[in-house]
Amino acid sequence: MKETNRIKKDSNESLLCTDSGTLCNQESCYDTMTISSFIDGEISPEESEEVKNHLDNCPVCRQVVDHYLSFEKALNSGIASSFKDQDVKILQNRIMATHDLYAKKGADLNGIQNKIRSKLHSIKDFASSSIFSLPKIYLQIASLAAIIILSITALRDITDVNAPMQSVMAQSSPSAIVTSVNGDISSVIILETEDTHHTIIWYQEV
Amino acid sequence: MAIYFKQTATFRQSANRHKKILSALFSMVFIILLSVISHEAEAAAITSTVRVIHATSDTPFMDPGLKDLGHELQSVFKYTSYRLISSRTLAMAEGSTGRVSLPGDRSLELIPKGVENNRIRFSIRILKNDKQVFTTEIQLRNNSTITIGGPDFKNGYLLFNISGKTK
Amino acid sequence: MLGEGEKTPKRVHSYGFFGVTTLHVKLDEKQLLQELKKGNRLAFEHLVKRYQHRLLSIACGITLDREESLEIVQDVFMRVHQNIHTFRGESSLMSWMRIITVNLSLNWKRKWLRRFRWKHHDIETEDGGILPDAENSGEHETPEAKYIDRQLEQKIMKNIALMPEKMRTVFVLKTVEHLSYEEIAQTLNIKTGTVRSRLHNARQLLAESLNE
Repeated sequence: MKETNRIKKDSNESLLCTDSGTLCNQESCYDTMTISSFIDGEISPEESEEVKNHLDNCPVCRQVVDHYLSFEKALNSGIASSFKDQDVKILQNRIMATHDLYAKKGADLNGIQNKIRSKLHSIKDFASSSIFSLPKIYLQIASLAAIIILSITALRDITDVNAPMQSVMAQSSPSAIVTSVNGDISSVIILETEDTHHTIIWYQEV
Repeated sequence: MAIYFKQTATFRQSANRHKKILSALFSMVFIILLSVISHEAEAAAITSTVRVIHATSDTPFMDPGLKDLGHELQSVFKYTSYRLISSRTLAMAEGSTGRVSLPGDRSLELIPKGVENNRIRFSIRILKNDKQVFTTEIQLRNNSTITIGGPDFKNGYLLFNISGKTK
Repeated sequence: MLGEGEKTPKRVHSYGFFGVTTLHVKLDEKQLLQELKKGNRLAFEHLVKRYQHRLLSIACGITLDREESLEIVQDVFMRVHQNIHTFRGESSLMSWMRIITVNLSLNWKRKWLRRFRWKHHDIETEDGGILPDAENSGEHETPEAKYIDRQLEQKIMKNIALMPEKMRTVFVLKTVEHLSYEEIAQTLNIKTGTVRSRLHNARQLLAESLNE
């Protein structure tokens, strides 16, 4: 038992001092770090036994434990409610379909994935990988040709895989032509909206 | 004599007329030159409005000041709330620097570099704590706007909508 | 429940929240790996059925984006299929796939794409996240208790979404996968002390938000 983890009694303190990460007003209360480790089973068996005994008599520490456990429940429940059995089944079919195509052709995986998924994804991959790559990169894009403007119209269309790719590119000129992008940034993307061909630059600071 | 005088008078009259015509011509040329110069000066004047927008995933909201832009932003981003934090219009001569303060110790510098084919060439710099973090060179269509975004700010992101106008 | 000084037992088969049970095929990991390397389709299908729920939960916990999670898990299996010959079996298949899932979920390109409306999201909450749907779960509780629980859950989920991603990743690996600190540290290539403090900070952050 590490005495340093215990909080000494101080009757004038408030019940729960979350700012300092400690519990007060209860003799021999544990700090929240110890309780967190206890919940995870990451303290020694002896200490764990002592914490358990303490919890039987300490509503303040018990409340901390209850709170911590409710977070786990909330996350698991939140994740669970975002998928239906059908989603999982569809995902499985998609994976197997991609697998079968790959197994049959034994060819380039990316090519097959593009066919299986959608035009959307192939454009996403292309856009994100070919414009800007490594973190903390100093981007100097001198040539206009290097700037790829994406049309959201085509990106939305995920069903019509065979639609001509020309539709991906804007029919009229963008509101702004970006000729260079520099800076202390980790990544940058240039977009064009569907309706008014409004140019958007989105960058991420390092 | 009389004839002489008459002739002289005629000559004087004719000389006066020439002077008048010449001076009128000079004035016209002067006026034309002035107007050309002033026209060029006008052409170099560029106005730009910088709107600072805060995009978040809070309760759905579209600022009335973003009427023209809201639909475009919503078509691209997943954010649900767009608030106009500030709007500032700058009048700049070619080569001069316009500066706008941004939230989060940031500032934006805008330098119009010229006009070609109905597009204004702009150099745009975004600074954070006086340190340059992002620069771009763009050719903005006259009377159009561009949106630059990305910096984190108060559980959301900052977007800067920049317009450019020249005569 | 809290263990008696032991490490929290791994609930390897606890994917009940999806309402789907795992396929009980008597195929141990070594045999499965052998069959996968031979290109056995059934073995691959078995792998998908066995692990897709868990991988989906990890991806969803980190990205908090339903569509993105589905794509990530598809990518994970394609990478497994493509690279199975290079997998030496020094760690378990799940450990390997978990690392791929975490890396794809934290991939900067993907993080970026999550910010944009690349396609229509038919099933999503008001703010585009994966906040729990009040009508979707808690069927056996009283309506009142259910309501209170959902309110609390939504509040917690909102604050989980606001967590720094690194902190959330540790929290997800602990909460969803019930990994030990050592296992989380290995998965993320960080120190166990960092895992301990990130978990504590995550819980404190959520506890404070409950008091707001």
